[in-house]
Amino acid sequence: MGKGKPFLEIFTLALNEDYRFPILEIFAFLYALGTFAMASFGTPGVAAAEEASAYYLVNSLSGLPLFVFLILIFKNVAYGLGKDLEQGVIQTLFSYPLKRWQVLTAKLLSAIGVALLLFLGIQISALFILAPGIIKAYFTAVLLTYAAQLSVLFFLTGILLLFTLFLKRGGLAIVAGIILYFALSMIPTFVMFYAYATGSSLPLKILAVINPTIVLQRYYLGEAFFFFPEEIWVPSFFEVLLYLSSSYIVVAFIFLIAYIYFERRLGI
Amino acid sequence: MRWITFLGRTGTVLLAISLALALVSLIPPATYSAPIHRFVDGGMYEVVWSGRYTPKLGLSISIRSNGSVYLYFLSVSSFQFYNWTMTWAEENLQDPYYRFNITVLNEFLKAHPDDVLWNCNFSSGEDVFYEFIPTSVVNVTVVIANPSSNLVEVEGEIREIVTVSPRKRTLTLTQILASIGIVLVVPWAISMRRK
Repeated sequence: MGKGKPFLEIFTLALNEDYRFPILEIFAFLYALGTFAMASFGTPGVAAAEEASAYYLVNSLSGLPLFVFLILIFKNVAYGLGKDLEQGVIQTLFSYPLKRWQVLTAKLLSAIGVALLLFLGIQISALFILAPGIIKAYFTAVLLTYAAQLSVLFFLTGILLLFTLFLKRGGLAIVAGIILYFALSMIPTFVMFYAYATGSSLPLKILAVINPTIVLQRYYLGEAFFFFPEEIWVPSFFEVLLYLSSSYIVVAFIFLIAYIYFERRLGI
Repeated sequence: MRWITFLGRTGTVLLAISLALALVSLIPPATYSAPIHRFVDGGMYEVVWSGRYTPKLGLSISIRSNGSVYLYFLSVSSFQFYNWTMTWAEENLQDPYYRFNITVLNEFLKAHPDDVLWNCNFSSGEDVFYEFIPTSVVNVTVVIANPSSNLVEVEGEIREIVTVSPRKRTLTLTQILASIGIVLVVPWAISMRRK
Protein backbone atom coordinates (compact mmCIF):
# COMPACT_ATOMS: atom_id res chain seq x y z
CA MET A 1 0.00 0.00 0.00
CA GLY A 2 1.39 3.44 -0.98
CA LYS A 3 1.48 6.36 1.39
CA GLY A 4 -1.27 8.18 -0.46
CA LYS A 5 -4.05 5.93 0.74
CA PRO A 6 -3.40 6.14 4.51
CA PHE A 7 -2.93 9.88 4.14
CA LEU A 8 -6.29 10.15 2.38
CA GLU A 9 -7.78 7.90 5.07
CA ILE A 10 -6.69 10.25 7.86
CA PHE A 11 -7.71 13.28 5.82
CA THR A 12 -11.19 11.78 5.33
CA LEU A 13 -11.46 10.96 9.04
CA ALA A 14 -10.49 14.53 9.89
CA LEU A 15 -12.99 15.91 7.38
CA ASN A 16 -15.74 13.81 8.92
CA GLU A 17 -14.79 15.02 12.37
CA ASP A 18 -14.32 18.71 11.51
CA TYR A 19 -17.31 19.19 9.26
CA ARG A 20 -20.14 17.05 10.54
CA PHE A 21 -23.45 17.82 8.88
CA PRO A 22 -24.57 20.67 9.02
CA ILE A 23 -21.48 22.53 10.34
CA LEU A 24 -19.97 23.19 6.92
CA GLU A 25 -23.34 24.25 5.52
CA ILE A 26 -23.95 26.73 8.36
CA PHE A 27 -20.51 28.25 7.90
CA ALA A 28 -20.95 28.43 4.10
CA PHE A 29 -24.27 30.22 4.65
CA LEU A 30 -22.67 32.69 7.07
CA TYR A 31 -19.71 33.29 4.74
CA ALA A 32 -22.01 34.07 1.80
CA LEU A 33 -24.43 36.21 3.81
CA GLY A 34 -21.65 38.15 5.54
CA THR A 35 -19.80 38.70 2.27
CA PHE A 36 -22.74 40.27 0.45
CA ALA A 37 -24.27 42.11 3.38
CA MET A 38 -21.04 43.81 4.45
CA ALA A 39 -19.67 44.81 1.05
CA SER A 40 -19.11 48.54 0.83
CA PHE A 41 -17.68 50.80 -1.85
CA GLY A 42 -17.11 53.87 0.26
CA THR A 43 -13.75 55.41 -0.45
CA PRO A 44 -12.05 58.37 1.03
CA GLY A 45 -11.61 61.31 -1.29
CA VAL A 46 -7.93 60.90 -1.97
CA ALA A 47 -5.88 60.87 -5.14
CA ALA A 48 -5.42 57.11 -5.27
CA ALA A 49 -9.15 56.55 -4.71
CA GLU A 50 -9.58 54.07 -7.57
CA GLU A 51 -7.02 51.60 -6.26
CA ALA A 52 -8.05 52.36 -2.69
CA SER A 53 -11.62 51.42 -3.59
CA ALA A 54 -10.43 47.88 -4.40
CA TYR A 55 -8.67 47.70 -1.03
CA TYR A 56 -11.70 49.15 0.71
CA LEU A 57 -14.09 46.75 -1.01
CA VAL A 58 -12.04 43.64 -0.14
CA ASN A 59 -11.71 44.85 3.43
CA SER A 60 -15.44 45.38 3.85
CA LEU A 61 -16.27 42.17 2.00
CA SER A 62 -14.03 40.00 4.13
CA GLY A 63 -14.60 41.60 7.55
CA LEU A 64 -17.34 39.37 8.95
CA PRO A 65 -16.46 36.23 6.94
CA LEU A 66 -12.89 36.41 8.26
CA PHE A 67 -14.24 36.32 11.79
CA VAL A 68 -16.45 33.36 10.88
CA PHE A 69 -13.42 31.72 9.25
CA LEU A 70 -11.43 32.25 12.44
CA ILE A 71 -14.14 30.63 14.57
CA LEU A 72 -14.21 27.63 12.23
CA ILE A 73 -10.43 27.24 12.37
CA PHE A 74 -10.36 27.66 16.16
CA LYS A 75 -13.01 24.95 16.42
CA ASN A 76 -11.14 22.62 14.09
CA VAL A 77 -7.63 23.13 15.43
CA ALA A 78 -8.18 23.64 19.15
CA TYR A 79 -11.29 21.58 19.66
CA GLY A 80 -10.70 18.96 16.94
CA LEU A 81 -6.99 18.32 17.30
CA GLY A 82 -7.09 19.08 21.05
CA LYS A 83 -9.77 16.47 21.58
CA ASP A 84 -7.73 13.91 19.62
CA LEU A 85 -4.72 14.61 21.84
CA GLU A 86 -6.77 14.63 25.03
CA GLN A 87 -8.68 11.42 24.33
CA GLY A 88 -5.74 9.55 22.82
CA VAL A 89 -7.31 9.27 19.35
CA ILE A 90 -4.02 10.56 17.98
CA GLN A 91 -2.35 7.26 18.98
CA THR A 92 -4.71 5.42 16.64
CA LEU A 93 -3.72 7.83 13.87
CA PHE A 94 -0.03 7.18 14.63
CA SER A 95 -0.62 3.48 13.95
CA TYR A 96 -1.11 4.32 10.24
CA PRO A 97 2.00 3.77 8.07
CA LEU A 98 2.73 7.47 7.96
CA LYS A 99 5.25 9.80 9.51
CA ARG A 100 3.94 12.05 12.25
CA TRP A 101 4.32 15.20 10.17
CA GLN A 102 2.15 13.60 7.51
CA VAL A 103 -0.55 12.91 10.09
CA LEU A 104 -0.44 16.55 11.19
CA THR A 105 -0.53 17.73 7.57
CA ALA A 106 -3.66 15.66 6.90
CA LYS A 107 -5.31 17.10 10.00
CA LEU A 108 -4.34 20.68 9.13
CA LEU A 109 -5.39 20.28 5.49
CA SER A 110 -8.84 19.38 6.72
CA ALA A 111 -8.97 21.98 9.49
CA ILE A 112 -7.56 24.96 7.56
CA GLY A 113 -7.45 23.97 3.88
CA VAL A 114 -11.15 23.21 3.40
CA ALA A 115 -12.24 26.28 5.39
CA LEU A 116 -9.84 28.45 3.37
CA LEU A 117 -11.04 27.00 0.08
CA LEU A 118 -14.64 27.75 0.99
CA PHE A 119 -13.77 31.25 2.22
CA LEU A 120 -11.78 32.20 -0.88
CA GLY A 121 -14.26 30.56 -3.26
CA ILE A 122 -17.16 32.60 -1.89
CA GLN A 123 -15.13 35.80 -1.64
CA ILE A 124 -13.78 35.69 -5.19
CA SER A 125 -17.20 34.78 -6.61
CA ALA A 126 -18.74 37.67 -4.66
CA LEU A 127 -16.11 40.05 -6.02
CA PHE A 128 -16.92 38.94 -9.57
CA ILE A 129 -20.64 39.42 -8.96
CA LEU A 130 -20.41 42.72 -7.13
CA ALA A 131 -17.60 44.47 -8.94
CA PRO A 132 -16.03 42.64 -11.88
CA GLY A 133 -14.62 45.97 -13.08
CA ILE A 134 -12.67 46.52 -9.87
CA ILE A 135 -11.26 43.02 -9.55
CA LYS A 136 -10.00 43.09 -13.16
CA ALA A 137 -8.50 46.56 -12.93
CA TYR A 138 -6.89 46.22 -9.50
CA PHE A 139 -6.13 42.55 -9.19
CA THR A 140 -2.83 43.23 -7.39
CA ALA A 141 -4.55 45.31 -4.71
CA VAL A 142 -7.17 42.57 -4.22
CA LEU A 143 -4.51 39.87 -3.99
CA LEU A 144 -2.32 41.82 -1.55
CA THR A 145 -5.27 42.67 0.68
CA TYR A 146 -6.31 39.03 0.99
CA ALA A 147 -2.70 37.95 1.52
CA ALA A 148 -2.28 40.48 4.34
CA GLN A 149 -5.53 39.59 6.07
CA LEU A 150 -4.91 35.87 5.84
CA SER A 151 -1.37 36.24 7.15
CA VAL A 152 -2.73 37.57 10.49
CA LEU A 153 -5.16 34.71 10.60
CA PHE A 154 -2.49 32.12 9.89
CA PHE A 155 -0.33 33.69 12.58
CA LEU A 156 -3.15 33.27 15.10
CA THR A 157 -3.79 29.72 13.88
CA GLY A 158 -0.10 28.84 14.24
CA ILE A 159 0.00 30.15 17.81
CA LEU A 160 -3.24 28.31 18.59
CA LEU A 161 -1.77 25.12 17.15
CA LEU A 162 1.28 25.52 19.39
CA PHE A 163 -0.95 26.09 22.43
CA THR A 164 -2.99 23.00 21.55
CA LEU A 165 0.12 20.85 21.18
CA PHE A 166 1.75 22.16 24.38
CA LEU A 167 -1.38 22.03 26.53
CA LYS A 168 -2.87 18.91 24.87
CA ARG A 169 -6.25 20.28 25.88
CA GLY A 170 -8.65 21.83 23.40
CA GLY A 171 -10.69 23.92 25.85
CA LEU A 172 -7.66 25.69 27.34
CA ALA A 173 -6.17 26.28 23.88
CA ILE A 174 -9.41 27.88 22.67
CA VAL A 175 -9.44 30.26 25.66
CA ALA A 176 -5.80 31.17 24.99
CA GLY A 177 -6.60 31.69 21.29
CA ILE A 178 -9.54 33.99 22.03
CA ILE A 179 -7.42 36.07 24.43
CA LEU A 180 -4.70 36.32 21.79
CA TYR A 181 -7.23 37.32 19.13
CA PHE A 182 -8.58 40.19 21.22
CA ALA A 183 -5.09 41.24 22.22
CA LEU A 184 -4.02 41.33 18.57
CA SER A 185 -7.12 43.34 17.68
CA MET A 186 -6.38 45.98 20.32
CA ILE A 187 -2.59 46.21 20.10
CA PRO A 188 -2.49 48.13 16.75
CA THR A 189 -4.48 51.03 18.25
CA PHE A 190 -2.15 51.32 21.25
CA VAL A 191 0.93 50.98 19.08
CA MET A 192 -0.35 53.66 16.69
CA PHE A 193 -0.95 56.12 19.52
CA TYR A 194 2.46 55.35 20.96
CA ALA A 195 4.10 55.84 17.56
CA TYR A 196 2.43 59.21 17.05
CA ALA A 197 3.20 60.29 20.60
CA THR A 198 6.89 59.52 20.24
CA GLY A 199 7.10 60.50 16.58
CA SER A 200 8.78 57.20 15.77
CA SER A 201 7.49 54.74 13.18
CA LEU A 202 9.52 51.86 14.64
CA PRO A 203 6.71 50.35 16.80
CA LEU A 204 4.40 50.38 13.78
CA LYS A 205 7.04 48.71 11.63
CA ILE A 206 7.66 46.01 14.24
CA LEU A 207 3.94 45.27 14.49
CA ALA A 208 3.62 45.23 10.69
CA VAL A 209 5.93 42.20 10.61
CA ILE A 210 3.17 40.09 12.16
CA ASN A 211 0.25 42.23 11.03
CA PRO A 212 0.89 43.47 7.46
CA THR A 213 -2.63 44.95 7.19
CA ILE A 214 -1.11 47.99 8.93
CA VAL A 215 1.33 48.66 6.10
CA LEU A 216 -1.30 47.95 3.45
CA GLN A 217 -3.81 50.29 5.10
CA ARG A 218 -1.27 53.10 5.17
CA TYR A 219 -0.22 52.41 1.58
CA TYR A 220 -3.70 52.35 0.04
CA LEU A 221 -5.71 54.74 2.17
CA GLY A 222 -2.89 57.27 2.35
CA GLU A 223 -3.71 60.74 3.64
CA ALA A 224 -7.31 59.91 4.50
CA PHE A 225 -6.12 57.44 7.09
CA PHE A 226 -3.34 59.52 8.61
CA PHE A 227 -3.87 61.40 11.84
CA PHE A 228 -1.67 64.36 11.09
CA PRO A 229 -0.53 66.12 7.93
CA GLU A 230 3.07 65.31 8.83
CA GLU A 231 3.04 61.58 8.55
CA ILE A 232 5.51 59.39 10.40
CA TRP A 233 5.40 56.48 7.95
CA VAL A 234 4.28 56.48 4.33
CA PRO A 235 5.23 53.02 3.05
CA SER A 236 6.29 52.36 -0.53
CA PHE A 237 5.07 49.40 -2.61
CA PHE A 238 8.39 47.67 -2.00
CA GLU A 239 7.85 47.99 1.76
CA VAL A 240 4.36 46.50 1.38
CA LEU A 241 5.87 43.43 -0.30
CA LEU A 242 8.69 43.29 2.23
CA TYR A 243 6.41 43.33 5.28
CA LEU A 244 3.99 40.91 3.68
CA SER A 245 6.79 38.44 2.93
CA SER A 246 8.24 38.79 6.42
CA SER A 247 4.83 38.11 7.96
CA TYR A 248 4.60 34.86 6.01
CA ILE A 249 8.14 33.93 7.07
CA VAL A 250 7.04 34.40 10.70
CA VAL A 251 3.95 32.24 10.04
CA ALA A 252 6.08 29.56 8.36
CA PHE A 253 8.47 29.62 11.34
CA ILE A 254 5.63 29.13 13.84
CA PHE A 255 4.23 26.21 11.87
CA LEU A 256 7.74 24.75 11.59
CA ILE A 257 8.08 24.83 15.39
CA ALA A 258 4.67 23.16 15.68
CA TYR A 259 5.72 20.43 13.24
CA ILE A 260 9.04 19.83 15.02
CA TYR A 261 7.27 19.66 18.38
CA PHE A 262 4.63 17.30 17.00
CA GLU A 263 7.31 15.09 15.42
CA ARG A 264 9.80 14.91 18.30
CA ARG A 265 8.50 16.24 21.59
CA LEU A 266 4.83 15.48 21.76
CA GLY A 267 5.42 12.80 24.38
CA ILE A 268 2.89 10.39 22.94
CA MET B 1 -20.23 5.53 -1.21
CA ARG B 2 -17.54 8.04 -0.26
CA TRP B 3 -17.92 9.81 -3.58
CA ILE B 4 -21.67 10.01 -3.07
CA THR B 5 -21.11 11.49 0.40
CA PHE B 6 -18.50 13.93 -0.91
CA LEU B 7 -20.70 15.09 -3.79
CA GLY B 8 -23.75 15.19 -1.53
CA ARG B 9 -22.00 17.42 0.99
CA THR B 10 -20.75 19.64 -1.83
CA GLY B 11 -24.36 19.89 -2.92
CA THR B 12 -25.60 20.85 0.54
CA VAL B 13 -22.89 23.53 0.75
CA LEU B 14 -23.97 24.91 -2.63
CA LEU B 15 -27.58 24.90 -1.44
CA ALA B 16 -26.59 26.76 1.73
CA ILE B 17 -24.75 29.39 -0.34
CA SER B 18 -27.67 29.72 -2.75
CA LEU B 19 -30.02 30.15 0.22
CA ALA B 20 -27.87 33.02 1.50
CA LEU B 21 -27.79 34.58 -1.97
CA ALA B 22 -31.55 34.17 -2.36
CA LEU B 23 -32.02 35.92 0.98
CA VAL B 24 -29.75 38.74 -0.14
CA SER B 25 -31.48 39.16 -3.50
CA LEU B 26 -34.92 39.13 -1.87
CA ILE B 27 -34.14 42.28 0.09
CA PRO B 28 -35.86 44.98 -1.95
CA PRO B 29 -33.74 47.91 -3.15
CA ALA B 30 -34.12 51.26 -1.46
CA THR B 31 -34.75 54.12 -3.87
CA TYR B 32 -34.50 57.85 -3.87
CA SER B 33 -36.17 59.70 -6.70
CA ALA B 34 -36.02 63.27 -7.96
CA PRO B 35 -38.17 64.86 -10.63
CA ILE B 36 -36.67 66.34 -13.79
CA HIS B 37 -38.38 69.23 -15.50
CA ARG B 38 -36.27 71.30 -17.88
CA PHE B 39 -36.63 73.58 -20.86
CA VAL B 40 -33.65 73.10 -23.16
CA ASP B 41 -33.02 75.85 -25.68
CA GLY B 42 -32.37 74.93 -29.30
CA GLY B 43 -28.73 74.04 -29.97
CA MET B 44 -27.95 73.81 -26.24
CA TYR B 45 -27.41 71.06 -23.69
CA GLU B 46 -27.99 70.72 -19.95
CA VAL B 47 -26.47 68.64 -17.18
CA VAL B 48 -29.42 67.10 -15.35
CA TRP B 49 -27.71 64.82 -12.86
CA SER B 50 -24.30 63.78 -11.62
CA GLY B 51 -22.99 61.51 -8.90
CA ARG B 52 -20.69 58.71 -7.95
CA TYR B 53 -22.10 55.22 -8.50
CA THR B 54 -21.06 51.75 -7.41
CA PRO B 55 -22.26 48.19 -8.02
CA LYS B 56 -24.48 48.67 -4.95
CA LEU B 57 -25.70 52.13 -5.91
CA GLY B 58 -27.26 52.41 -9.36
CA LEU B 59 -29.20 55.00 -11.28
CA SER B 60 -32.33 54.82 -13.42
CA ILE B 61 -33.98 57.46 -15.53
CA SER B 62 -37.43 57.65 -17.10
CA ILE B 63 -37.90 60.62 -19.36
CA ARG B 64 -40.06 62.09 -22.16
CA SER B 65 -40.00 65.31 -24.15
CA ASN B 66 -42.02 67.32 -26.65
CA GLY B 67 -39.20 67.29 -29.23
CA SER B 68 -36.25 65.29 -30.42
CA VAL B 69 -33.43 65.22 -27.85
CA TYR B 70 -30.29 63.23 -27.06
CA LEU B 71 -29.68 61.71 -23.66
CA TYR B 72 -26.11 60.88 -22.58
CA PHE B 73 -24.71 59.01 -19.59
CA LEU B 74 -21.06 60.11 -19.33
CA SER B 75 -18.46 58.52 -17.07
CA VAL B 76 -17.00 61.80 -15.79
CA SER B 77 -17.64 63.83 -12.71
CA SER B 78 -19.57 67.07 -13.13
CA PHE B 79 -16.43 68.88 -11.95
CA GLN B 80 -14.26 67.35 -14.69
CA PHE B 81 -16.97 67.96 -17.27
CA TYR B 82 -17.37 71.58 -16.17
CA ASN B 83 -13.62 72.19 -16.29
CA TRP B 84 -13.22 70.68 -19.75
CA THR B 85 -16.19 72.50 -21.33
CA MET B 86 -15.25 75.79 -19.66
CA THR B 87 -11.67 75.61 -20.92
CA TRP B 88 -12.73 74.58 -24.41
CA ALA B 89 -15.33 77.36 -24.64
CA GLU B 90 -12.80 79.95 -23.44
CA GLU B 91 -10.13 78.81 -25.89
CA ASN B 92 -12.30 78.23 -28.97
CA LEU B 93 -15.36 80.40 -28.56
CA GLN B 94 -13.56 83.15 -26.61
CA ASP B 95 -16.42 83.25 -24.12
CA PRO B 96 -17.22 80.74 -21.31
CA TYR B 97 -20.87 81.81 -21.60
CA TYR B 98 -21.15 79.58 -24.68
CA ARG B 99 -20.09 76.46 -22.79
CA PHE B 100 -23.65 75.12 -22.87
CA ASN B 101 -23.66 75.23 -26.65
CA ILE B 102 -24.16 71.78 -28.19
CA THR B 103 -20.94 72.29 -30.21
CA VAL B 104 -18.99 72.15 -26.94
CA LEU B 105 -20.71 68.91 -25.97
CA ASN B 106 -19.99 67.41 -29.39
CA GLU B 107 -16.33 68.38 -29.05
CA PHE B 108 -16.22 66.75 -25.62
CA LEU B 109 -17.75 63.57 -27.05
CA LYS B 110 -15.24 63.60 -29.90
CA ALA B 111 -12.35 64.01 -27.47
CA HIS B 112 -13.66 61.43 -24.98
CA PRO B 113 -15.51 58.71 -26.91
CA ASP B 114 -14.78 56.16 -24.15
CA ASP B 115 -16.58 58.29 -21.59
CA VAL B 116 -19.97 57.67 -23.17
CA LEU B 117 -21.57 54.95 -21.04
CA TRP B 118 -24.89 55.07 -22.87
CA ASN B 119 -26.76 57.41 -25.18
CA CYS B 120 -30.07 57.54 -27.01
CA ASN B 121 -32.05 59.81 -29.24
CA PHE B 122 -35.74 60.05 -28.55
CA SER B 123 -38.49 62.03 -30.18
CA SER B 124 -41.63 63.80 -29.06
CA GLY B 125 -43.99 61.77 -26.85
CA GLU B 126 -41.60 58.80 -26.66
CA ASP B 127 -40.99 57.39 -23.17
CA VAL B 128 -37.42 56.37 -22.45
CA PHE B 129 -36.31 54.26 -19.50
CA TYR B 130 -32.73 53.27 -18.69
CA GLU B 131 -31.22 51.61 -15.64
CA PHE B 132 -27.51 51.79 -14.97
CA ILE B 133 -25.81 49.56 -12.37
CA PRO B 134 -22.03 49.89 -12.80
CA THR B 135 -19.57 47.05 -12.36
CA SER B 136 -17.03 49.32 -10.66
CA VAL B 137 -16.96 52.71 -8.99
CA VAL B 138 -17.73 55.41 -11.60
CA ASN B 139 -18.65 59.06 -11.71
CA VAL B 140 -21.72 59.63 -13.84
CA THR B 141 -22.95 62.83 -15.44
CA VAL B 142 -26.31 62.79 -17.23
CA VAL B 143 -26.67 65.26 -20.08
CA ILE B 144 -29.63 66.18 -22.26
CA ALA B 145 -28.86 67.84 -25.59
CA ASN B 146 -31.27 69.57 -27.94
CA PRO B 147 -29.88 69.53 -31.50
CA SER B 148 -32.94 71.28 -32.99
CA SER B 149 -33.46 75.02 -33.14
CA ASN B 150 -36.68 74.91 -31.07
CA LEU B 151 -37.12 75.04 -27.32
CA VAL B 152 -37.85 71.57 -25.94
CA GLU B 153 -39.56 70.66 -22.68
CA VAL B 154 -38.16 67.57 -20.97
CA GLU B 155 -39.69 65.91 -17.94
CA GLY B 156 -39.34 62.69 -16.08
CA GLU B 157 -37.77 61.17 -13.03
CA ILE B 158 -34.33 60.12 -11.98
CA ARG B 159 -33.99 57.41 -9.37
CA GLU B 160 -31.03 56.24 -7.30
CA ILE B 161 -31.19 52.55 -6.43
CA VAL B 162 -29.42 51.15 -3.38
CA THR B 163 -29.17 47.35 -3.36
CA VAL B 164 -27.46 44.82 -1.11
CA SER B 165 -26.17 43.15 -4.26
CA PRO B 166 -26.89 43.43 -7.98
CA ARG B 167 -30.19 41.55 -8.15
CA LYS B 168 -29.99 40.07 -11.66
CA ARG B 169 -26.48 38.69 -11.29
CA THR B 170 -27.15 37.36 -7.78
CA LEU B 171 -30.39 35.66 -8.82
CA THR B 172 -28.72 34.00 -11.81
CA LEU B 173 -25.96 32.64 -9.58
CA THR B 174 -28.55 31.52 -6.99
CA GLN B 175 -30.42 29.53 -9.62
CA ILE B 176 -27.25 27.91 -10.99
CA LEU B 177 -25.94 26.97 -7.52
CA ALA B 178 -29.32 25.67 -6.34
CA SER B 179 -29.73 23.53 -9.47
CA ILE B 180 -26.25 22.00 -9.17
CA GLY B 181 -26.77 21.57 -5.42
CA ILE B 182 -30.04 19.67 -5.84
CA VAL B 183 -28.54 17.39 -8.50
CA LEU B 184 -25.63 16.56 -6.19
CA VAL B 185 -27.73 16.14 -3.04
CA VAL B 186 -30.34 13.73 -4.43
CA PRO B 187 -28.16 10.55 -4.64
CA TRP B 188 -26.70 11.26 -1.19
CA ALA B 189 -30.14 11.85 0.33
CA ILE B 190 -31.42 8.59 -1.21
CA SER B 191 -28.45 6.59 0.12
CA MET B 192 -28.89 8.17 3.57
CA ARG B 193 -32.55 7.22 3.56
CA ARG B 194 -31.71 3.63 2.59
CA LYS B 195 -29.26 3.46 5.49
